[in-house]
Amino acid sequence: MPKLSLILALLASVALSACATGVQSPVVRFDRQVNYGDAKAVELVTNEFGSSDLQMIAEKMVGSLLETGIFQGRPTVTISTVKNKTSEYIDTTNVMNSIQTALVKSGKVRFTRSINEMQAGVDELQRQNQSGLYKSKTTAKVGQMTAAKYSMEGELTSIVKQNSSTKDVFYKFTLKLFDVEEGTIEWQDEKEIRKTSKR
Amino acid sequence: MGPSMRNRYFSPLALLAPLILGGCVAMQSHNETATMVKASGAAGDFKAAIAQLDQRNPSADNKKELLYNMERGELLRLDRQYGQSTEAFLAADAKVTAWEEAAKTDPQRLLGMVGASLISERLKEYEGQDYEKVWLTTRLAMNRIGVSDFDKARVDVKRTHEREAIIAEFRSKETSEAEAEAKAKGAQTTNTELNGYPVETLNDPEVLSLKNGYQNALSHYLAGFLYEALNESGLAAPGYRKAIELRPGVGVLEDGLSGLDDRTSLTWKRKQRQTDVLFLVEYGTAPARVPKAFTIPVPVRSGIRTVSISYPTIDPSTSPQLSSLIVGDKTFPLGNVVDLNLMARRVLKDEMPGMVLRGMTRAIAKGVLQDELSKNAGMFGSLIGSVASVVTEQADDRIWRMLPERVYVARAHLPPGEHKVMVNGREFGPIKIDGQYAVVPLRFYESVALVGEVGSIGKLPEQEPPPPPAAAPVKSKAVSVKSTKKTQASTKKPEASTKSK
Repeated sequence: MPKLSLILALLASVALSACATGVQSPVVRFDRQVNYGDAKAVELVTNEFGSSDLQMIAEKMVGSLLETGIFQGRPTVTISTVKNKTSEYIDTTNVMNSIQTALVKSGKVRFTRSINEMQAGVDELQRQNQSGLYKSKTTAKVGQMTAAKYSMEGELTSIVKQNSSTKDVFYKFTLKLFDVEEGTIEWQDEKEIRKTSKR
Repeated sequence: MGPSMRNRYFSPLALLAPLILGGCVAMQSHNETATMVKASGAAGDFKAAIAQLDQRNPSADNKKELLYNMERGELLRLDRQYGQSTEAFLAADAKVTAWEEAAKTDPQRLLGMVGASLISERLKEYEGQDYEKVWLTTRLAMNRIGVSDFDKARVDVKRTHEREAIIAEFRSKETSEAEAEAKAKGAQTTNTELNGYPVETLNDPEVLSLKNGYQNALSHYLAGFLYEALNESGLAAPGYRKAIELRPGVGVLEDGLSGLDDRTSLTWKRKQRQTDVLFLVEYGTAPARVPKAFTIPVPVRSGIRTVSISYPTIDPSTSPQLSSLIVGDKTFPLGNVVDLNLMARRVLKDEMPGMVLRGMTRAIAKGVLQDELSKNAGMFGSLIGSVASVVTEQADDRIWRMLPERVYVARAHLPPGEHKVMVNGREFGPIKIDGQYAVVPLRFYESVALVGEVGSIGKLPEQEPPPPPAAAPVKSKAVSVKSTKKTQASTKKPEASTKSK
């Protein structure tokens, strides 16, 4: 009889703990403290270009672009160049990817392949048309790509000033939207960021 | 002999005995090891050089050490055993990564390590010179480029930037701590001068003109080149820009940045018929840290005692500079982007104030110990004390010696195929060049001229066939697609990389 009560108690505790783990995922943890953080949290580790700067730039540009009403009738846009004129290794493609993601999700604009993405598209067209592996009716035809009406060009610059106790970094991100055919700038905005650190 | 008497002089002896006996291995001169290794490999027999290095580092613990693995990795690279070289570098890199972790999370632990040097500088665990830590990831990237593993090369290049940032942050903390400590103790922050030390080698204008002792222009130029070849011009630009900042006035470096937009444009890439070749010409071996002994008077209870103290010195290089590289009938200027003799002297200069203070503290402790021994154990004790002092007082001569002394770069556009290259009258080659971009490592090592594995990135566009007389519009578009250049880096290993030495 006591054996039975012991088994029941064990089963109950297993069942209860199972309920608990059903709510929360199990965590494997060793000595080191590792935690997930908020990806949108303000990052102030150093005054070099960081995740918060990227997010601030993307937010400002997307908001400004969508406000203009330039994207009537879902025009096509391509990303041209994003020049990094700072001395920091900043992956400017990341900034443009964030802007592009938000714009694509808004549904107000269509993006065509950028110069950097074109080779993969050409390779795929060649594979479909020249490998002899595909039914001709199903292959994508060469020469049918849609050209972009607008081209997006960006530039990131910085001014760094430093003395023995203070480091001041000023970033400026400028984004322009060109009408490809007319060569006119149809929209332009910039985001300025100042970061100061003291020793 | 009573127990109190025994304790009085046995305790200092007990302290010194393990240092004299057990310390022998730790006190081994790296300078001697490097000289023997260099002699073994002087004629290009790097297997013999590696065997010599192994013989000098016989134990399993020795083979885990940072300096052993850096030296071994470089010798294996010279022997074109890139896989094993990378393994050795990765073993060394694990040590540097542990240092980085400590520098980020517990810098006090690293700053506290100087305590070991109160007995001898050589008893400190070798954590590598800062410029060696940066070189390590650069060398890893170069090994990966040699075997066409560009994804991993990119990771190593990125780690180089991150490593430099950690070093900068740590050294800034170290300087702040030292300043605060000096202020608290009322000490002067000016350098203590040693009579007879060749200070002119450290105060050389060329040494002082270096921005710091750990960043080198090659690492950044190579980063720029790799990012450019991988079609990431946004990251290539800061690479070239930083290289110029570190080594201003070098034409090759300036051309890297000024021509970037043209070279990465689609128009240029479609027209490109020649390989964009980066020649890395390495000369000699890194300088030695040569210990120099000084005798200084130390006040003790019984009066003044003279104690021997040792500091490392680095002689300036006297080897000739390389000026140009000739391929066929074309001459390309060589830009000197790294001078490790200057960098090593700069590091030594930065280390000297701390080293002198530690040396003085050590000298006083040793003087007091010798005094005690001679008082309590007479002549025998005095002799033991002097021997221990001399044995333990040897400057730290550990430094990565198999690295080149200087590195030059040249950039040329060459048609694919085999080329003979001449530098300062020495011929390298024939060297097979192929692809859209190529990296050609060359090395003058002692009496031999070596060609490393050529890394080829991407493909040149196929030549357009002559247009047919009446081509249909659709067909001509297909040809144009076919001829569009492959801008993405190819991960395919070129079949015929040169193997010649």
